Amino acid sequence: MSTVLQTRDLRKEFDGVVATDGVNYAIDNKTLECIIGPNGAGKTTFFDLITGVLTPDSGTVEFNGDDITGLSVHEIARKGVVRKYQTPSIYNEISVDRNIRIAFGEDGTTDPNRRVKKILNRVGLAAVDDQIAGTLDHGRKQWLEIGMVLASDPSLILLDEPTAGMTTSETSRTADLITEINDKENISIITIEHDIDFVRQLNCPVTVLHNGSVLASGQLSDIEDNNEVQEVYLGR
Amino acid sequence: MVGTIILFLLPLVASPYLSFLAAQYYLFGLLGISLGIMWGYGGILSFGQAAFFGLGAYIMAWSFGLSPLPINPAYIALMIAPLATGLTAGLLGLVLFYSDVKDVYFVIITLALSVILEQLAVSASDIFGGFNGIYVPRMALSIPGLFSIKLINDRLFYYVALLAMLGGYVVCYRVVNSPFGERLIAIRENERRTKSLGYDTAWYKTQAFALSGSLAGIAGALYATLSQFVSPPLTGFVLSTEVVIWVAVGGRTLLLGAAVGSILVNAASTVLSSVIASQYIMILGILFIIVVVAFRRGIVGYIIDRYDIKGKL
Amino acid sequence: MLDIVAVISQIIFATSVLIIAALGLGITFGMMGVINLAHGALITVGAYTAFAITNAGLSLWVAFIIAPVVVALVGLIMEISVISRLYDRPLDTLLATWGFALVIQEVIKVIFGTSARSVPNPYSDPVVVLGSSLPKYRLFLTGLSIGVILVTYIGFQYTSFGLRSRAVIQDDQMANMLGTNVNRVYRATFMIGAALAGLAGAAVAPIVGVDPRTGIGYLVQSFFVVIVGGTGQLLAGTLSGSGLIGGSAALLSFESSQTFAQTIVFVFAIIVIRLRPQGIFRGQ
Repeated sequence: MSTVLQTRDLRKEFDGVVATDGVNYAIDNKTLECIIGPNGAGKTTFFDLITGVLTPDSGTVEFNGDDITGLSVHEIARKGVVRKYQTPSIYNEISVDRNIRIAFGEDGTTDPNRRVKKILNRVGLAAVDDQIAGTLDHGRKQWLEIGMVLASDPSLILLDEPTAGMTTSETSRTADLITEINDKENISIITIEHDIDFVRQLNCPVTVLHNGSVLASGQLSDIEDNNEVQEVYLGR
Repeated sequence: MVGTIILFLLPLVASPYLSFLAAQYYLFGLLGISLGIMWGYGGILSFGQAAFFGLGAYIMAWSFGLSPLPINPAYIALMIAPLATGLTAGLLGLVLFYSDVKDVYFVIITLALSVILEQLAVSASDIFGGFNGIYVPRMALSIPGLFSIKLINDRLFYYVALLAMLGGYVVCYRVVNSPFGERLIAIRENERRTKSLGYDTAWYKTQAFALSGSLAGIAGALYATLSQFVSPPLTGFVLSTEVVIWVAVGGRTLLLGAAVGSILVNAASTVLSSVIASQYIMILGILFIIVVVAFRRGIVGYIIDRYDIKGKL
Repeated sequence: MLDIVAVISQIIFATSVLIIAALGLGITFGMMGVINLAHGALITVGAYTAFAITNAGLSLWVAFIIAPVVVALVGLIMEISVISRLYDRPLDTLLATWGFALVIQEVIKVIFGTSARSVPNPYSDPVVVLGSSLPKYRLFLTGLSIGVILVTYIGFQYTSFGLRSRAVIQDDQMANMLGTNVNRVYRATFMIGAALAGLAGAAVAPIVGVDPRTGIGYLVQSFFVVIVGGTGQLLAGTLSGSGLIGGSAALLSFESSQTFAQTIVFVFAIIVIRLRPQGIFRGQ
């Protein structure tokens, strides 16, 4: 199994506050993993550092063996690391269909019509393909964004709280969706989450971040038994 | 379509003076379009379009100043002006867009560009002619060896100006409806997402700015030989900010709005200034404020929305 | 042969003028995020107020009190009628304030005509400092700029209004929940920014003359001061920005014309912005 993403001693500081404190993290190819942690643990900052939104003060980020530290956002995205943001980041003024098409990116794709259909079916939005994205309800906007991420042909997907604001049934469907993407498309996925039930449904390895560093990692059951983690986080 | 035909027939009934005025308006229309494509489609406000317009005008003036030349000096200017202005805009874009400069700062910097250029034109008077400006003869339409018609006839120049504006409009229309245009709009709507999908947004913005600059440069070059006089205010911030008003009033998200707004506001100014003397600027300012607050899609945009006229304009 | 005292004093003077001119903008733009393109026009109103008052026979010092009040009222009109509706639309604020700039300029032209006016300089005789002859009025301006900084500092740090203002600017939702009338604070803060512009206009009137375009030059310069200085710290940013922009312009104008110096400074400022888009003192 090869490592698709690896960070070494990743560090980032803001005006004296250490947001990311020497994080060593690795995820293997075609794996699905979760990152959890209390608010302010530095989870989104971690994603920012990986995707080029922020440049680390020290440390490196490697993607499929290549050093991508310090590259710009679009360059990293082109290499295959695509992100879904915490608040739905889609094109509100155009249709669902066109949102997906734009996501095909610079290089476009062969047979776009077929691919659009396939993706919309996968995320459950086939019935609303010509609806204006801004008029979708919150849950569907999240799925649209996931669809767009899929359309851009990623090797690694970063999901930042994909179920924020979703109902229980929507959360369930999202868990199925993510598992399916990982299984069928063989794409590696890292997802940040707050919702422990969602993490449980995904049944994947978990890394706990606290104050910018890795507190613990392993299977959810082990994490739940971990005293430190309980002190810091669980009981929500 | 009907409107365009009317425009073509106008000089047959209008006086030479009206044709002259209209030609000016068309060139301002082209200037408005140059802002429209940046602002309306790229979402980036440039407060310095006159810098490119004026630069184009000076290039035309210098071209004639270098006579006698084997080639029609106006043709030389019309080739160099868009290149020079486009390159300047592109370079500035490269510097600014790649450093993630906030939109607001871009406005200030482009405003400063206009101010600087005007000051330069005033002070470097051996090159720019200072306040006294430079006189420019009317250009000639020529095919070497065959004929050369000097465009002294205002009605003839009317057609040149109209064609220039329509040409610029068509170019922008094609750009806007191309994949490039779609991505530009995507950048305007949500730059973060567009970047995260692998698009080099700074490069797209730079290209749009370069296009905008060269269109303004062509408009300026033609304006120089039409009005036959080039002076620092043509590069200055007053004109730069006026363009913003024309396009805002007309409707910034529509190319047609930019063009029509520019033409109408200028026509109205000419009419009003003979009636209410100096107060028309005040009225324009108040109108501008109202449009900004209440009519975000401009007057043309409002009409289109109200009467539900479809089609991408 | 450069006279060191003359050089240093020029730099200090240029910095002082910019501090006075830009501080008002630093408050509205740096603190409130409002891009007030009418800032230059407000300075002009201050200058014309000074003219009107001195022309009526009163002393310049009266103008120093009246001008900020007059311009604060203009600011109030702007804020109540338009600006307060546009706080969530920064680019539209920019445009609307530009509209106001045009209207204000035209109103001035209607009332006062377009020809330049002058305001008498109460300190026109020079003062000898360290062997160099320096214009007394500019020394006064330097003192005024220090005074303005001090008053602003004390005002924002130690008065209850200052505290509320900073709270609102930091987090207006929180401030609202804690009982502060956010709209009133924004309004008052905007008026203070305007008042400072008025003071600046009155202050520079004796040395630059008064005409409808007096404020425009300061508009662009003030924005560069705020952008280069950064929006993180009001006073530190304004000071460093003014020092850099004013100082380098003053230095360069010894070697070349005023205009050319300005051009170089702008290019230099653009480079600074390129390298450090948030300015020297970074904001949120």
